[in-house]
Amino acid sequence: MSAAETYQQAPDTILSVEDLVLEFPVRDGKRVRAVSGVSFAIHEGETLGLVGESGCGKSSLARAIVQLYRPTSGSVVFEGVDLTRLNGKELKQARRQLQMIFQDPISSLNPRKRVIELVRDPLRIWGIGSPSEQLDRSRQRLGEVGIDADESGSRRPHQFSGGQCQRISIARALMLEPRLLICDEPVSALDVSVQAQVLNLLEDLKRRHGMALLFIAHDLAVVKNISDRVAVMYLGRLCEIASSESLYREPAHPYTVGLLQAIPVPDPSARQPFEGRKVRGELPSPLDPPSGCRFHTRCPFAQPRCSSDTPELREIAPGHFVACHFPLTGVHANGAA
Amino acid sequence: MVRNALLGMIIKRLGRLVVLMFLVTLATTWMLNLVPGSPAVILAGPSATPSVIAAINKKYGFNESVLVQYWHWLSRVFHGDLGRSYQTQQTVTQALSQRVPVSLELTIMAGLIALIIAVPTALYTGYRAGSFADRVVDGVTSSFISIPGFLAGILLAYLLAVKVHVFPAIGWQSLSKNPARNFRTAVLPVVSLSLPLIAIFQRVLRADVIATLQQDYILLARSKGLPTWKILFRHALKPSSFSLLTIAGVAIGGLIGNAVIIEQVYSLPGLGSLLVSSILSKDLVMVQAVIAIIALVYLVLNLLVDIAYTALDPRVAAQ
Amino acid sequence: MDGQSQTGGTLLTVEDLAVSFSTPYGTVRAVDGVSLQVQRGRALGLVGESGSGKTVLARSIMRLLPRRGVDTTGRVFLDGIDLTVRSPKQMRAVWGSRLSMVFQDPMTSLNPVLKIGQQVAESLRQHRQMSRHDSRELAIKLLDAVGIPEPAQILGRYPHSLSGGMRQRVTIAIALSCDPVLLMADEPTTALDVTVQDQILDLLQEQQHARDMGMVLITHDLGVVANRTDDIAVMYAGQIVEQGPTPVVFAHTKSPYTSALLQSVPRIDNPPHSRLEVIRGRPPSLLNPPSGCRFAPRCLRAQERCSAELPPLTPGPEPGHLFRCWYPVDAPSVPLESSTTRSA
Repeated sequence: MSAAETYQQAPDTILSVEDLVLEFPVRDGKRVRAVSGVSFAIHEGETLGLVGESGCGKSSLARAIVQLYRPTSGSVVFEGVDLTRLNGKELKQARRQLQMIFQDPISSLNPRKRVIELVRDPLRIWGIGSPSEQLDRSRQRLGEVGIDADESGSRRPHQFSGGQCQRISIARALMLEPRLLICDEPVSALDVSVQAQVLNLLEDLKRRHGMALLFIAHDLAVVKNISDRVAVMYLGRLCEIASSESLYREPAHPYTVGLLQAIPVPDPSARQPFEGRKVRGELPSPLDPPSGCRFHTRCPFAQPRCSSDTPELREIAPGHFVACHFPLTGVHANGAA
Repeated sequence: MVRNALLGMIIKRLGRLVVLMFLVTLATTWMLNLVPGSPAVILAGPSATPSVIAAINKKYGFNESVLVQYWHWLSRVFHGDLGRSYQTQQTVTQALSQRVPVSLELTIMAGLIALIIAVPTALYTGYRAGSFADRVVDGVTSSFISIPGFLAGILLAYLLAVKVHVFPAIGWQSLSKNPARNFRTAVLPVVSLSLPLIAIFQRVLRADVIATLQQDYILLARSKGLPTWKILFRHALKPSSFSLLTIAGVAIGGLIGNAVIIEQVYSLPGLGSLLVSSILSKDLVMVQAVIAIIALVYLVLNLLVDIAYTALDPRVAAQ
Repeated sequence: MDGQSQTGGTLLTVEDLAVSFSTPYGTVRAVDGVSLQVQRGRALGLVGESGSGKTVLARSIMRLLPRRGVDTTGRVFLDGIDLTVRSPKQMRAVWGSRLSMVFQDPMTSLNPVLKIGQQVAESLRQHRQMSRHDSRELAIKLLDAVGIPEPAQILGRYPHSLSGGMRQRVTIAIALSCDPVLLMADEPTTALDVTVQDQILDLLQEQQHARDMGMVLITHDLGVVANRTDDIAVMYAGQIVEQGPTPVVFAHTKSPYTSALLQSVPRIDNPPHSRLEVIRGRPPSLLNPPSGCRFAPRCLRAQERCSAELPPLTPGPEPGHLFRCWYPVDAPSVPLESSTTRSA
């Protein structure tokens, strides 16, 4: 099939990213590292949430996984095949079961095409089924995402709202029955009431089609709601990975705690659980990232060692990984006064 | 850091300017050689014998290749000698020293007047887009653009010189000899030259002002309680003037050599008329020098425009 | 925090304010009969989704809407003075000195070609007739007060060299420069990251308390106003559907829209994969709003009467609580246990 070798993967692992580095050239011959040495895996049927603030490299990471940006080094093994070693044609083949949806639902759909055609396109490109079968399946998929193909299939994207356009891009991404769907900030451009509709829809479709999701967002509450496991990213590196329950119950990285603390809770009677653990200042320039732990310039717990040694991701509890020299645990993390 | 970037940009652009000047003058030499008919024939007159023509050709090097001719010209230029007109025997330096000040004065005055009138008008009409005043200005500027410069010149001369004798109809007094009289002789040609510029500048700036006034920072400036004129001049003008600057560089630069018709109408001793007469008489040395001056003014103006960009927008400087 | 201030008294009164825009398709009633009050030294949260009319309301209170094609009725009193009858020139004396505004996107609300110092000092020179030197000194103090490191050096910089959070601090410093009695903050943190949002909200709250200033905090996020305002008003399709003291509205939510909005937000203390409450459909077009209650077509509790008659704002049992519904929600929308499980 392809020239690339097959890689050993745990049987239920669908995607494994190993030491991925992505650099972009910037002016004066300098290079900026958008992603530096990220490793993680996604299992069959699992939702992995990837959370971080703007500029942390989460969208670059997603694009590097689907090879929209070619990684500088490292490997991306999807279903046993290292995507970084494939040429264009092989990549197209391998990517069939790896689909992606984007933040801006309206601009990611070709404005000149009718919705039914947009959704049908993947089947036509791959030559799957007869034209009438293709149309049938397109209608069915549109129905699944809550869009009536008979009523609105012949409209064009601009005639739909943002939420509906996101449904259409989801329908299109599902046409080839992907095993992994990468969602890059799929709800952050939507209104609160519409956001809930799309999140529920993604949950339903995931269950029905047995796919895995890589769900990228800046909103920790949204990510927690949809994910089985959550990875927190800061300035191109992973800080912490854990099951969503334990990440929220026992966050160990000061940055995770800071993020949790900063979420506005719609409940005046709720006590801020991480009071006094606020993150200071703002994101340093990715062009000139801090030495050692990249978070040390904003960390309320930073020690001298943090500015010199880079902490590696290590397991502090089963399935709970953190990249911090002084992880917060138990009472400490919850900041009981 | 910004200062250094600006300095680097200027040095780079000066280098490019020198290279471009070489290319322009070389191209001029080459193109003048393409024009049919030898200058020697014109110089020697209709009854000259072939031997006289050959002697002239040899004296001026008209038979040499383009590169050799260019080299001769260039090496003389570096010794400060621009040559001597074949026609009048006047030195080129002398001719230019008479003509260049006239053209420069006309160009600078016309450009300045156009900006002084167009900028406030554009700010106001952009602020009051669609109002009665805006539509009146639009009508006036349309006529400025559509009436050819020479017609405006003739009309103005007729009305203000022939009819009411406010200004002299023709002629020129140099600035250094008699400033008051220089002003009187300059008014009509400067006004004629600036009318189309006013129209172009006003339209370009008005469009950008309308877009700028939609920006959040204008709303913020309003919410500070600033008076309208401060919002327009301090907050809206600078971010709106990029297109104006580009257009102004080209349009004002164009006046230096393109004012031929206005120079004819008012009988002014400018560069445009010198260029035309030199081309017609195949006065190659003169043509070469005039074109070099025009190119130099153009390039320097564009360099100034680029420096102005960085002064206007700190983000350009940072890149 | 208790929002009680010593001075008290009504600072801003909005009476039956309505704003309509003429468009090629017809008249859009963006704000439809809004009445509200802001007490001196207190913060009002104005909550609504995009298109609910909250930004238009804020700008019409400030009289910052364009005059052409906009029709405004109703009255706005600031400190007893009717702003709606003031001339533009008279408004300029109010803007920036007694009434100022912070906008949503700090990337676009500062002039890119003017130095920070000039933009901060401008109001001071305008309203206080300060000298160049004095306004510079005060600008440094203001920037320092809003948490900008090395303020003297920042004065000479241009906005593009500052981060979004820093720029928003600058616009806050500008808004606060002449000690306004009322600050309108229109989605001041929507464009910012969550950790920076938290810092900016803290700053606004701290300044509001320290200056005993009235504040209107406009947002789409109920979480933003829950802990930082004294009162809230929830807008839907140009109307207020519920208003009252913040703790009351959260604990005794009456409007099905407020309730649905609260339920549709994923909450950090929900277990993973919890089903979110969904508001079906989408907000109505204000060109042709539904008859009766505007939320009726999307409301799960709607009855026949809802699409026929617009419910008036009705007082609830708690003082100051008003809601617009024929069949209000009874149960508290926020289960009380949730607050106890959160603290360790």
